[in-house]
Amino acid sequence: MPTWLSQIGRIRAPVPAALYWTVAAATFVLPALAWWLVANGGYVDRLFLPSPAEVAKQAIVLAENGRLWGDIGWSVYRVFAGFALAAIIAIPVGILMGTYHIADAVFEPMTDFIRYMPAAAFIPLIMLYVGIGETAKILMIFIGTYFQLVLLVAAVARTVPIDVINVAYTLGASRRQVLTNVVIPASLPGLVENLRITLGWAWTYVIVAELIAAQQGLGFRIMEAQRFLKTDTIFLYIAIIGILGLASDQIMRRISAKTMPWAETFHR
Amino acid sequence: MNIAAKLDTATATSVAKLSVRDISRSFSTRGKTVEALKGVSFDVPSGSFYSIIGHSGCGKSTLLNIVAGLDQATSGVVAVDGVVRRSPGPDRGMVFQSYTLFPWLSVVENVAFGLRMSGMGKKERREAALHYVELVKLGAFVDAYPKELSGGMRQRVAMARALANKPAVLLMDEPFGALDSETREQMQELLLNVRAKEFMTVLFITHDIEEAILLSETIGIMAARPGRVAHEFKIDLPYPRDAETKISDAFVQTKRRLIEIFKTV
Repeated sequence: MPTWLSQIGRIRAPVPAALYWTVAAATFVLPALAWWLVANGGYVDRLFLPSPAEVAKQAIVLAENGRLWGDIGWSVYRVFAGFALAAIIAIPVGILMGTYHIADAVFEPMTDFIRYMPAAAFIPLIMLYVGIGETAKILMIFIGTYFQLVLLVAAVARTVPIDVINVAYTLGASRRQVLTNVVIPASLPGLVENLRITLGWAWTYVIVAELIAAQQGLGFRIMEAQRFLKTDTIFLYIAIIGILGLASDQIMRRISAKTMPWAETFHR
Repeated sequence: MNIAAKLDTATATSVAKLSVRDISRSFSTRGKTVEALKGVSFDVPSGSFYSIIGHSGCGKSTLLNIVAGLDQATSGVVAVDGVVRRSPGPDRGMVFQSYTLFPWLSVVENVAFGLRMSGMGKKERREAALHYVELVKLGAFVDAYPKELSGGMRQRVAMARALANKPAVLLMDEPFGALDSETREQMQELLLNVRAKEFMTVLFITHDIEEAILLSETIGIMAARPGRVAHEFKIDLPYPRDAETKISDAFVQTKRRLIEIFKTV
């Protein structure tokens, strides 16, 4: 039996990179193949299930007239604006919550309370207060991600081992130095990991925001396509959201590996 | 209580680098008060190696945390060079049982951490740190990150990091407790070696009698519930000591006597 075969069932044991990526690629290729077979076999009405070729054709049309790029550009801009705003506030607040018990008292119960309110329920209020412009969409993404992110950051800051903090004190670090030179750097890998995960939620909320009121963007185009029963466009745009998510995920992983070569990581 | 007078009598007999006087510590949990330490007193003379041994749960780690200033005594004082200390400071460097290296810093940056906190310049502190990295024989791993090091190597870095700060007293809380027996022996020899080269005063916590005998000049035996130093025991074994010392007759006799006492506490 080859050694890699015996690795498969072993808990947390790494498998060869070639095997990993072959399996990963197959999870994309096989469903696509099944889709192609079903769509071209004539089992399902074209209205419900367009064929891969039709979706590809639609992609070319929309790419050529520029609409696709405009939509991607707008959605990406909204995601990054909303998410950056959430991260800029959630990171310092979360670190304070995880470090000082009193900051925890100030933020944690309130955050838990708001966190359970569905972000979409705020839409009417957002429209009432700030209208239906860009601010509304960015605010929507902020509400959807900030309250989750701040708790995750606090949890990360809390996992810094107390002995690591204490050893810094015995090396002469002041409280402020322990915060800036120990708690923050020790939290970085977990922080980036959580940013990566919450970025996915920002993608969900940008679509929600655009479904309501927008003139361009991926979510708006999906809504518009529904009106004209353009299933191929809907398929295309949903796939594009997936691809953008996957790409931003990979970019963040790369940045994290490049900037923090010291961090303990799982095998990929 | 006249602390100053007590400290004076202590310093009259020998130069006490570290004085622990009448330390008591009680914890309240679920309405009950538990006395973890009661009236712990001892002196560690300048340049000497003092070990505290005791069964697990006797409060020896609590005691060390109080000496380090990381925990507060209910009563009693800790003094370094006759000056009372209540909060942690660079005069009492510490090596923990758990791995406490900063993972984002290389070996030499870890060792230089204390120097950086005190504002020493980049070049100067690297040079100073390198001396201690060499001292613990990790010259080949100067720029490695902690994740690339074995457990024994990590503890050697932790030791170098504490020493680089030139603490008045080095506190060690079962620093080799998490290591396998072979690595542990190497670490003990290394520590003896380091002590032969650098002037240092050490307060060492362990539950390993052999380790305590090999390394120490004085052993304080702690009794539990409430924790207190029940006996003090002088080790007269000659220097230099090494792993061979453990099989000498004098060592075996010392160990036998110590075990007898240890049974009674």
